[in-house]
Amino acid sequence: MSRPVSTISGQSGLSSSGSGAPLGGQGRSLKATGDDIWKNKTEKINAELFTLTYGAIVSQLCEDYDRDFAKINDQLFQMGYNIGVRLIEDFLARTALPRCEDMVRTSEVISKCAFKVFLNISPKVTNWSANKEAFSLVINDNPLSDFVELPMDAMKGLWYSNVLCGVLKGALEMVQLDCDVAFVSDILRGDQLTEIKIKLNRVLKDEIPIGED
Amino acid sequence: MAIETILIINKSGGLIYHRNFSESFASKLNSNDFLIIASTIHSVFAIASQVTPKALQLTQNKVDYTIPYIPMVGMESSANQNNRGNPEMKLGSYKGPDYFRESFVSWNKSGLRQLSTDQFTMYIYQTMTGLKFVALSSNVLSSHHTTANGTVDKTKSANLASQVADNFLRKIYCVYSDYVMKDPFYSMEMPIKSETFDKKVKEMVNNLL
Repeated sequence: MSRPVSTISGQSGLSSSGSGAPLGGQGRSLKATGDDIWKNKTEKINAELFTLTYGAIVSQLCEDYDRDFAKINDQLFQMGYNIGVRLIEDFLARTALPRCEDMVRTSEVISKCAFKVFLNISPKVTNWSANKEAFSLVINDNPLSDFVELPMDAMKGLWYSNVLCGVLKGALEMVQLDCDVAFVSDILRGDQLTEIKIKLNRVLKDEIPIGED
Repeated sequence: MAIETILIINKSGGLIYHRNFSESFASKLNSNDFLIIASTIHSVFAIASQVTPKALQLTQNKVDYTIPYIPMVGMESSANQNNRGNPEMKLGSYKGPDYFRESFVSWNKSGLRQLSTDQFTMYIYQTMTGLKFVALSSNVLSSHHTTANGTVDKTKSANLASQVADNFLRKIYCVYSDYVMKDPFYSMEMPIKSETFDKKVKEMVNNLL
C-alpha cells in the first residue's frame, strides 16, 4: 500500500453519486488499481504491430464482404463478442474486483481498469441517462485507429473500431449485465468525438452465480 | 499443502478439467465418477448457500471476505530459479515474479468454501462468471492433532490453509485465463484439453509441495 491513493474527481462529479468511495482491491482507488496492474502485472506488446494487425483484419473483411459495411460491422461485432466472453476471465483473474453495485460503478471499472489494463487508455464517461442506466464512453486516443483514414465509401457505413463494442457486450454479458453497446460517432468518420454508447437492458439475476451474496 | 486433485467446474455444473497429482484415493475413481462428483459439488455448493442460518444472513454484511495476499504460493522459489540459471519465470501475459500481489475479496460469500473430512480437505474458489476451481488436498485438519491450546491452533491453521488455497486457486484462474481462454481452438464450456495449461498447473502444484 505504498501507492498513493489518488482521489477520483470523476467526470463532472459523477463518481460521487451512488457508489460512494470508488475503491478497488485493498481499498485503493480504481485508477490506482488499473495503473498498477497495467504497469507491474501485464506484459506489453508493440502498439504499432497491434494497430496494423487490426487494420489488416478490417481491410480483409472489406474485401471478403465486398465492401458491404453493414455486414462488416456485424462481423467485427461478432469477433469482438467472442473475444469479450473470454477476455472477461483475464480481467477478473487480474483484478479480482468485486461485483459492481450499479452502472456508475461499472462505468468506472470499464474506463479506469478495463480499458487501462488492456489498451492503456481511460475513456471519459459522460452522457448519463436520467435513470443512470446508460452512458457514453468518449475515446480520445483510440489505439485501433492510429494511422487510419477511411476511404470515401466507408465514411458513411463503417464503424472501424466496432470490435470494441463486441468486446464490451460479451464481457458485460458474462458478468450478467445484458447491455446494448454501439458506436454513436467516430472521429474517423469526421465526427467531433469517438463515442460508444452503453445501455443496460437488464441484470440477468437468474444467472448470477449462487453463493455471491 | 499437498494437492491431490484439481477440478474445474463450469457454470452449469459440468466438469471441464480434472487432474490427479498422486496415486491416492482420487486416482482410483474413473472419469465418470468425477463427472458425478463435479455436479454434486455444484449442487451442494448451492445448497450450502441456502442453509446459512437466518441469523447469520442478517449480520452477514459485517463479514470481511478479504483474503490476504500470501506471497509466492505455488511459485518457484528464487533459489531454484538461480540454480537453473533462469532468473525470470515466464508467466504468460502476466509480469512476474507473481501473478498478483494484493489482497482480494472473495466472490464466494455464502457458498461452500471448504470441506474437511478425516481423509482430505476440499477447497472451492468460485469466480464472478460462475466457474468453480476445486482443490482436493491430502492435508487433514484433524482433531487428533491437539496442541497445548488445541482449538485455537486448529482454527488458525484451518484459516491459513484456506487462505493459501484461495491464493493458489486464483493463480490457477490466472493460468486458465491465459492458456485456456486465449486458446483459439478451445470452445467455451467444453472440457479443457490444453497441454500447456496442464503443464502450468502441474508446475504450480509441484511448487506447492
